[in-house]
Amino acid sequence: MRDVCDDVTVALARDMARAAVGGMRVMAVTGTSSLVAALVARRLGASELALAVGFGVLDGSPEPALTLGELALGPGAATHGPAMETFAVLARGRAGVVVSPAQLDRHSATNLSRIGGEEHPRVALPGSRGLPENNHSASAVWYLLPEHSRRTLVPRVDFVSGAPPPAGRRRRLVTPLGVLEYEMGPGWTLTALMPDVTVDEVRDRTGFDVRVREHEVPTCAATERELMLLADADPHGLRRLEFADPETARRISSEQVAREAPRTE
Amino acid sequence: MTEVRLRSTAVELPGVIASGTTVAIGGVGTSRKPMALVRALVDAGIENLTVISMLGSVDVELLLAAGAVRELHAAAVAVDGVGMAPLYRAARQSGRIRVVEWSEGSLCAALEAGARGLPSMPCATSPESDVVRGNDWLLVGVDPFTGERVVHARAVTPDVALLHVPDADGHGNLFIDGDPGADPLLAYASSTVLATADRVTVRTAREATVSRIWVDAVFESPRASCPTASYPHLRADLDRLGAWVSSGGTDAATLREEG
Repeated sequence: MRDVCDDVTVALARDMARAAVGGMRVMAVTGTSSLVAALVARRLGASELALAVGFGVLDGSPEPALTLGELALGPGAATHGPAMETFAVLARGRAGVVVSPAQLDRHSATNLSRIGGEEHPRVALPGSRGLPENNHSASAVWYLLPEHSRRTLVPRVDFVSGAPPPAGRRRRLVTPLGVLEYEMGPGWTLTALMPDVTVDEVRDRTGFDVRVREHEVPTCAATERELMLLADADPHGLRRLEFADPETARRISSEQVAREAPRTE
Repeated sequence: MTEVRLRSTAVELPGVIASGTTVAIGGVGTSRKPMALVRALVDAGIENLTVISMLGSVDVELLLAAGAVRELHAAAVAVDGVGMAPLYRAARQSGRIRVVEWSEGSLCAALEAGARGLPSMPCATSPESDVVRGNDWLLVGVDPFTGERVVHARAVTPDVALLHVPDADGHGNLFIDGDPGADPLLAYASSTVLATADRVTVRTAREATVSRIWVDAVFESPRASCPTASYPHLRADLDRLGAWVSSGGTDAATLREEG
């Protein structure tokens, strides 16, 4: 049975590979799905794409891990450069970054701070992290939203963590329903659909207008080869963690923790 | 001179850490949080703290559980890979303590201004972000050369920085092999720097992440970051972290226990 998580990860990987060919040098990943997508992007022709996890850590032969304290450090990974290098890479437009905000709006503003409430949040979220810097930067930004709904895709965010990108900057949104592209002016355009999803479904579940350029929107299903590359990069399916329900996520996590435990340093 | 305490059974806090001080905590999320040092703070009954933890997790939770925090500064607090930090969430939603939200870039700029002895520093944070609006340490100014609007971060100079590193050498140089976070900046900007290290060993000084000239004391204390990770010596204890989150922040023993 098809798992849409695979199609989403591959769609992201293809985009990253394209961007790498177009000059993007470093991919900053922020979760297991984006890490796996970057590993697949390397196998899709972007073999030189560097991976940044957090501040100043790159590369090696990263594999997804849960208990190392960072996503991707494994044998061969190397630290590189001072922490401030991260900000330079981002500002100079040499990076790509994947973020998963709680809300995204019609102007591509992002929110990872709070939902509702007046003086105090009704619902507190972790906090804005690097969104106030990366959203308007010259670097490539992808929004990876495991939930595509009117709850996550809103007319206006409750709190502006990342401000709307200025004219000329493009942003891409990847969800279990499809791929959308943002540009100031036209706004959001649907560029691809996940398998078995319709344009009407996307519009019904999005809280802002979605343009459709052509009569038929292409479907982005992962090919057999891409599924193989995915399995190779992420044999234990850690990419599913961000998409699964809490119980399944706990099970995947426990199994992986058990796998990692016997390998003492 | 850096004091290096080998095979420490207990970390000792100098008298400079008293109630009301500003304590900055290093590490990133569930990586390299100086939990033994934080426990020592709590055990000493120190309170009314202004706590700075750029990417906080169970370090912040432990201090909140102890009621030691008057004001909290962070770009995010969450138990990465597990879930929301329950006491942080409750504190923000109740307004019981003052929580000041930063972004990674603006807080690093504030620390860098502190480190450089400047009153403030510009940063790449968007002037239109609500983080700027809600933070008294951030102002939108006008660049004197170009006239463009730029966010300025006011200098932050913590009284104490608490760090955990995998390795230190006998001179007090600190070595971080994974994500350094903002730990070097914390060391430059803070008046007193205390560190725990899983081991004190011989390493090439040139490779040090934080030079001994910034470090006041290092305690050799294996597992001092537990339940957070300390690459490559210690893995994160996801079971304990998960237990904390599941308990909704009520099971204090989960965090109070040593590694």
